[in-house]
Amino acid sequence: MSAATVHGIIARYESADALLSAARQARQRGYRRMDAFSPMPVHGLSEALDAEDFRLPWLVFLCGVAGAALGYGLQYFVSVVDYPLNIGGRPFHSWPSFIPVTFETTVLLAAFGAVFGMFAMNGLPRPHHPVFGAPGFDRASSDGFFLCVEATDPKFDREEVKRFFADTGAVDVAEVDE
Amino acid sequence: MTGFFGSYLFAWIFWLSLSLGCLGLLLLHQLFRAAWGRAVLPVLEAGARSLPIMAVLFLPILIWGMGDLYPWVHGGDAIDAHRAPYLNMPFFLIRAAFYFIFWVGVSSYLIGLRRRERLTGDVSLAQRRTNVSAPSLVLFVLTVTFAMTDWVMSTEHHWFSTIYGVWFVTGQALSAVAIAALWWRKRQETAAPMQEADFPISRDLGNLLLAFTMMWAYISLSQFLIIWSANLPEETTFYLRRSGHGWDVAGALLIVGQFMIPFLALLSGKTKRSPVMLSRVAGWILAMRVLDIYWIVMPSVREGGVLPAATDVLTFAGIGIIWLVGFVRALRGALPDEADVATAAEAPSHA
Repeated sequence: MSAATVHGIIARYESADALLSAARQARQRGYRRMDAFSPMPVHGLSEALDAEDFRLPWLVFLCGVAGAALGYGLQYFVSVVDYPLNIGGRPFHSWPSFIPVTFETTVLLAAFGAVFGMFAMNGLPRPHHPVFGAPGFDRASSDGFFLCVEATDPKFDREEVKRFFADTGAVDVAEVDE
Repeated sequence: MTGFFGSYLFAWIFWLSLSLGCLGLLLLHQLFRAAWGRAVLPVLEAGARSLPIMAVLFLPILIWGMGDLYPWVHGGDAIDAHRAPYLNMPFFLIRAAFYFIFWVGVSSYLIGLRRRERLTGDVSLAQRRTNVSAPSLVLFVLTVTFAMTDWVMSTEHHWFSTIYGVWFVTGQALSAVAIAALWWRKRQETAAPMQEADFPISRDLGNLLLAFTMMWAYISLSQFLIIWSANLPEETTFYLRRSGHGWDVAGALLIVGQFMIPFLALLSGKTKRSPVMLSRVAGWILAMRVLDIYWIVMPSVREGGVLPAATDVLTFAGIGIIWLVGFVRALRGALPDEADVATAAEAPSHA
């Protein structure tokens, strides 16, 4: 059993459509641990891979709520509690004038959550990944569309995956070393 | 009679805003040709085709209602005199005619071009639609700004706001996307349902609803914040008039109902992906749009509380039935859009 020494099997397709249809078929066959690599976003690919993950949207949402609370709270504390100033005879708690800053801090923290959360959840920065060793993988940033079934997939079987890739019209099929 | 024409103006402006929203999106669609626009094109065209009916329904106001609705008709003070070269009956009528000729003209031209494209298979006509729509979109925003200033803002005697037109343009677009989302649900249920994975139309419409909801809130707040900050007597009248007799409750309801609830509901991908859930949000938004127009129009044209009078309900239903009959008939006669949707899948999609 030398399955542990490979990262998975990778296949290269000629077009986004071929990759999309292969990803759909792979899902139908029951493969779950898969990843796809393409030079541009492919519409419907994440749905086909069922790679949707709601942790990041929730993190962004919570960061946004925290940003709103912090922004509003800061202004309330400064203008009402810590250093009240009479500006044009308006009430200290003048909520309309607090809204723009609250909006900005909401966007700021939500954006931080999106960028840093994405980095953390993707395990970035990461200098090396096994698929970089796949032959011709640099074409993933020009004209290559790759689909990789990982060795950790419960249904992973080297020969069967290779046969599956060949059946779905892959141009190259290769093993990816760990 | 003031009561009647106030009601009539509110009802007419609401239904007109649906048609104008459809026309605005129709023009916008010609510039992008995104998958969502192709899918809901029949609705946008049908909505825009009600514009001639709305022009006819403007006549009662022009003939009998002007004196009741618009204080500048009677003149009286120095500000009225200063504004008279612009706000006078003949020029008002010329402008109204110009707005409607442009709106009806550009919408029939676009619909006609698409019909010819269908019949002859001449795809070069699509480019002509784009060429016409780009400058027309600019003129559209300008004409709506001027029209709403003429027809709604000038019911206030001295008050003015420069963001007013954009406020309406955004609200109209919000209404139009809501109608499109309602129609999309019906279409998914009746016609052969399209694969949502291939055509995430529902998600695109949801994102548009979210964007216009935020833009509406942004513009509403901007207008309020600027007037509140400056605190000038001639500008604050608008909000003072709406700060009692239940209008303040209606205003608060708008903040919660037209912004917070749809905003939170539309943040979720689940809501946007399901045409059924999206149609519920869209229905809610449309109901809030009625309240919004009511809140904008009524306090300027009628003294008193927030509770609607019988004439409000009757004129709203009356004009509504006429609009809906026109809309449904136009929708039945509209060109189908399946072929357009199918080509959207073949072209690389960047929707």
